Amino acid sequence: MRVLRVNLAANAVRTEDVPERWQRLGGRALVARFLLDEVPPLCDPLGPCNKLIWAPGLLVGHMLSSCDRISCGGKSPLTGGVKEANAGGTSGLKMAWLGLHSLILEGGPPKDGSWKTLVVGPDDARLVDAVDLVGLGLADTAGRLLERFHPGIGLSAIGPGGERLYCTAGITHVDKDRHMTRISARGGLGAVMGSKHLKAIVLDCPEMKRPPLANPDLFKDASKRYIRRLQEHPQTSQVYPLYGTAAMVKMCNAFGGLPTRNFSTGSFEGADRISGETIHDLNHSRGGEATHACMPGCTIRCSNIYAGPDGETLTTPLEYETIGLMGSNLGIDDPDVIARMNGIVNDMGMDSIDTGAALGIAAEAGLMVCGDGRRALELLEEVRRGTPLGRIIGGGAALAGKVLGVTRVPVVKGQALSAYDARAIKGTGVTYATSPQGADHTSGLTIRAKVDHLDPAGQVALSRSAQYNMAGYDSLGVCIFGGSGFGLDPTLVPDLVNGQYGWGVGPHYLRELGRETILMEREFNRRAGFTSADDRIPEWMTREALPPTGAMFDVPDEELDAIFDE
Amino acid sequence: MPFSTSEPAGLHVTVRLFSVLRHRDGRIVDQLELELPPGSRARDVLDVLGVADELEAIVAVNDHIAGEHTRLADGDCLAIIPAIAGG
Repeated sequence: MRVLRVNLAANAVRTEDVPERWQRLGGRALVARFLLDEVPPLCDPLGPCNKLIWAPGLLVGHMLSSCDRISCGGKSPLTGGVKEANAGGTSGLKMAWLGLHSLILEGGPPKDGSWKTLVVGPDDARLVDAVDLVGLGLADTAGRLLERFHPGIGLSAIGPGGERLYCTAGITHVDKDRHMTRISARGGLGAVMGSKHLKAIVLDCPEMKRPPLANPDLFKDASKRYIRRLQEHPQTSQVYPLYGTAAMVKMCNAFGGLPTRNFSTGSFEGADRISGETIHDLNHSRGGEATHACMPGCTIRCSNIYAGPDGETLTTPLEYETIGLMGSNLGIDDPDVIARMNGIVNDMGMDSIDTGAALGIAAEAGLMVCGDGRRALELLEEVRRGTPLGRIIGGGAALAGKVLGVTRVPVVKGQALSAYDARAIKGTGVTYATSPQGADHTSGLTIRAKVDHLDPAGQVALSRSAQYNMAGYDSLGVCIFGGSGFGLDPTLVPDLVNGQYGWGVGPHYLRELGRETILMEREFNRRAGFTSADDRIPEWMTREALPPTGAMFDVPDEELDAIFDE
Repeated sequence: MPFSTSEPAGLHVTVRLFSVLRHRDGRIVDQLELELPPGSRARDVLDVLGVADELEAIVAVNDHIAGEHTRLADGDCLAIIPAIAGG
C-alpha cells in the first residue's frame, strides 16, 4: 500500500511509503493521526497550510456488506477543529484496489488560478485541467467524467458549494449505480477542497484487486458469520431495506425529539405525512425504488430512489436527517418538496443537515414562514445562484444566526444538530456536546438504547460507549448499520481484522481503537484552542423547555467534562 | 382495514402499526382494533401480534412512550414502532 501526495500549487504528484505509525490506522483514526502529524492546528482551514486526506477504513476493499466506506478529513472551516466525514459509494473500494492506503491533498491552488482534476490510475496519477467542469453541479460533473473515462470509475468531487467555499459544502462520491450523491457532508471539507481548486478525483481502476489476507480462512469465516447476522436480524434484513432511515420519523416523533420549526418543539403534527411509511407507499405507487445499495456487496440496502408524481426520479437517497432538517424543522410536510430541496443540495454538494438548520434560522428571522415549501425552494435557489442571502445560508446555521440576529441556534462547535433534539434524546445530546467533531449523530447515537431518554442519569456512560464504538467503526470503514451485525457478536471485528492483517488484536479492539481515535481528535482540538467551554449544548437548550415533554438539557457539566476519562 | 381478534371481550384498544409491522398477511395494515382481557399490558399486545423481540419495538400509549409492563385501559391507542439505529 502507498500514500499518494498531491500539491496543486507545485503541480506535483508523488507516491510514498506508508509511515510506520500510520500502518495500523485507517479511516477516522488515520485522519486524526494525520492531522496531529501534518496539519498546524492553528492554521487557516481554507489556507495553504491545511491539508485534506482520503482514508479508506481498515476493512475496505472486499465488498463485504457495509464495510467499504471512505473517510475524508482535514481541519474544518465550520468548527475550526478536527473533521472526519465518511460516506459510502465506491471511492474507498477503488482506492483500496489501486493499492492506496491514503491520498493527501496539500498546498494552495495552482499559481495560475486554474482548477484541476486528479486522475489516478493503476500506474500513474496526474493533474489535468478542469476548466470545463467549473461551475457545474455534481450530476453534470459526474456525467462528463463518467463519459470521458468509463462508467466504472470511482469519483470524488465538489459541487458549486465547495467551489464557493460554503462551510456546508462536502465532498461527494459516486455510488455503484453512478449516482453522484454519497457525500462526506459535514464540516465543510468541500470548501477545503475548493480552496485548493481541485474539482474532482477520478479513480480509474480497471480491475478488481482485493487487499491481501493474512489468514483467508479466518476472514472468510468471520465474513460469513457477519452476513448471517445481518440477514437474520429483522432490522437489517427487513426494516432498512423496506423503509430505510425514514423509518426514524415516527420513532423520533414518538420520543418528542423530532426537530420542528427550528427546534421549538419535538413533535410535528405533520409527521405522518413525511413518515417512512408515507414515503414508502408514495414511492411504491410511483414506481420508485424502496431498496438500493450505495456500495457493492451491501445486503442492507437502506437507500431509496424517490420518484416524483411523473414517475421520474426526484432524488436519491431521501434520508431521515434531510426529512427532519428540511421537513419538520421547517414545518414542511410535503415529501415532494423535501425531495426537491434534497436534489438541490445534492447537486450543489452541500450538507442537508446544516443547510436545513440554516433555513430554520432564516425562518425564525422572518425570511420564510414555516410550512411554506415554495419559499424554502426559493431560498435554496438563492443558495444555488450564490446571492448574498444564499451565501449566508450556505455558510451554515451558526453563520446564519449571527448575520440574521437569531440567538436560538442549534449548533455545537459551530456545527448543526442532527435530527434528534438534544433535550429529548439526552444521550445523543451528550454526544453532540462532547464529540470532537461537533454536533453529529453519527458520532454516537443513543436513541435505540432501552433507557429513559429524558432522564439525565446514565446518559454520559451511554454516549461514551456509543462514541467509542462509532469511532472504531468509522476507522474500519463500517457503516453505522453494519454495526448492527457486529454488535451481535463481539468476535467478528477482531476476527476480520486478524484475518486481513494478522495483527492478533484482542476482544476489546473496537473500543480501544475508538477511544484512541477520540483522544487524538481531542488533542488536535486542544492544540487548535478548544476548551471544555466548547463541549456544551447551546445554552438556550438548557433553559427552554421542549414541548411536548417539557424537557431541558440537564446533564451536569462536570459529567460532560469527565466523559473520556475512562 | 380494521379487524378484531377472537379474544374474550374486556378491553378494547386501537393499535397503530409502523414500518415492517404494517405488512400482515400480504397486505398493508396501518391500524387494527383488539379486544383484550382486563388487566392486559403493553407486552400482551406485542405477543398477540407476534412482534419479534429483535425488532426492539417502541410502544407508545396515547402518544406517551410506555414500558412493556404498562397496564392498558379501555379505549387506549397504542403505537408500535420497530426501533432502528440511526438516520
